[in-house]
Amino acid sequence: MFIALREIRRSIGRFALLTGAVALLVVLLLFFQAVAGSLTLGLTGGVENNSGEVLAYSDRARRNPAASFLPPGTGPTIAAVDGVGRTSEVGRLALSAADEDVVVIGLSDPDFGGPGRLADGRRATASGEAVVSSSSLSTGFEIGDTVTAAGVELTVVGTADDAAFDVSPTFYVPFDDYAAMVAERAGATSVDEVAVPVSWVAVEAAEGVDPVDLAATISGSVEGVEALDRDRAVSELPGVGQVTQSFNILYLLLFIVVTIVTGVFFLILTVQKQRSLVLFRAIGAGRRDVVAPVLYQVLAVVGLGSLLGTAVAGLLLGAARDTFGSTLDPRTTVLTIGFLLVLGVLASIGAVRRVLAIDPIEATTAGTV
Amino acid sequence: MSSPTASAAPAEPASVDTPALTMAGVSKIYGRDEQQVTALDEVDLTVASDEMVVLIGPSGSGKTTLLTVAGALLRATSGTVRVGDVDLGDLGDGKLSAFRRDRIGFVFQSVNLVPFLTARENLLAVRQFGGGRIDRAARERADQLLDELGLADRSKNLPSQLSGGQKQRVAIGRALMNDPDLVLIDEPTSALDSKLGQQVMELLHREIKQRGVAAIVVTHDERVIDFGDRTVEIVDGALQ
Repeated sequence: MFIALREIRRSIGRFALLTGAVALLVVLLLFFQAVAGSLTLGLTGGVENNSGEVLAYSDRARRNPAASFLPPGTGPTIAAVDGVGRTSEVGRLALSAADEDVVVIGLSDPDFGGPGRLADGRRATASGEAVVSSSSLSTGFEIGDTVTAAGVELTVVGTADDAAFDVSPTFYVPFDDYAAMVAERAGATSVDEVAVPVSWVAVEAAEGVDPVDLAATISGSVEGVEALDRDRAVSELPGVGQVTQSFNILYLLLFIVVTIVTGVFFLILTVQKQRSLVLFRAIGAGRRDVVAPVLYQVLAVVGLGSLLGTAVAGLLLGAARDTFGSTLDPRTTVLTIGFLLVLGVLASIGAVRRVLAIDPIEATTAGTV
Repeated sequence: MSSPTASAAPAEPASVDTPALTMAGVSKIYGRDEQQVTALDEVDLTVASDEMVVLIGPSGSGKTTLLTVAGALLRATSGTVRVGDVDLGDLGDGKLSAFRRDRIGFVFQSVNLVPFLTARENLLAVRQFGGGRIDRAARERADQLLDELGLADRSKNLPSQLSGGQKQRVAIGRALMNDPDLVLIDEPTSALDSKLGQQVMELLHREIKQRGVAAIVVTHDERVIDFGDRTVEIVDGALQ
């Protein structure tokens, strides 16, 4: 530690530059992760945080909630399947309200089929009430706000975090209000004049029944239905895989750049101080004595760079909260820093190998034979 | 400066105590077959525990090779090398490093100080090897050595801020930092002018003799010969 710290102190410029480079890459990495997390959650939150353990779509919808319309009478059929504990018929409608594109989700059971937990307020149980989950990329709604959607005035009585569909503000309303909106959109004067579609059925498994098995049972026993357990419903949402894959490629590139930058820096440093390392070995330093400073320095540079990068990313995301609505996820941040430290150590393998290859006899080679 | 009379003489024991260094029938051969070069040829040399031996010889005669074999930097091809009671042939590579750290002091010709450590830190670094700690005793020891070497006011200087003679004195201090049994010095005056060379050798002689440590000084410089208890000449790898 003594030698490692003294070297950093005497070469503060070059170590500061590398730390700055690592910090910059960490800023990019954490910023992308936060934005990607918000974007992905905006796509998946409505399903991911749904109280339904199984979602039963039309088998023609290709697991896309926006394309799912169940045949009439499907809800009671599903409810009668062995192993089903509770169901709620769900209708989905995309429309404009309050100058924004919004999604309205109608629930036949106000207590089931919507967000599993509310952040504030209560469930929408009466006509004209709504629970809203704001998209992270839009202006938020608060309890008491009123919005008119397809001729129905809604008052926000509760809010839920991360329960939006299609990266849009999502209003969870009683099924009757949803039906009224469908009728209004269809130009009908009464709900009775239109067939109000049920998009999917949210299902809770009976006690002791595995949701994965129940999904398979429903798919096999109810015609025209493809039921998915919640985790699979999330992963099968259209666009999620592509978005995740695109960001994963970005992460991979950034991790590779951090590794290369760190590895090359320490390799160059090792070459530059070869004579000092030779001297150390000649006067009795063991291999551990010359390798340990390299590893200390790698951990110090990557660790400090990560902390600086995290601080800057946190400040940037805070400043851009109105634009991106993203924050640093502590777990992801800690995992990322841990992974970077491991990569830093792996990146130093080249430098360590070079240090280990030093022959102390070189200390005398400038002299006579 | 009063120094013992020195002259080229056969390598013989100089003390009845356990010798600091015993080399018996030591050969060092580089390369194989037709490429073979014999750098040391059946060398027998004993250095008493408080003796200062000057090793002279023409370029390529094997002086530095003898020094590196004696200092556990290089293994002999054949023969026995003992430093104090320890047969170096019995030590593995890892133990050789620890042995050099604890029992041998080196002053090299060219590679001598770590540029990013101050004079004091160059001495202290030795104490950290092998999991050691730089405690108060180590700091006091470094300060005492630098003071004796006339470098107390230079202890915080980096090597780049020191003159050639000062650098050489710091290297001597580092060689003595761990109280070695044997100090090996390679061409200590080669990079110094005659006045500085004289000063460094006087200092080296004083420090070595004060501590009762054995030393081998390899040199081309005839003025250095006067500082040794005896002088040994090597030609074509064989002691004369």
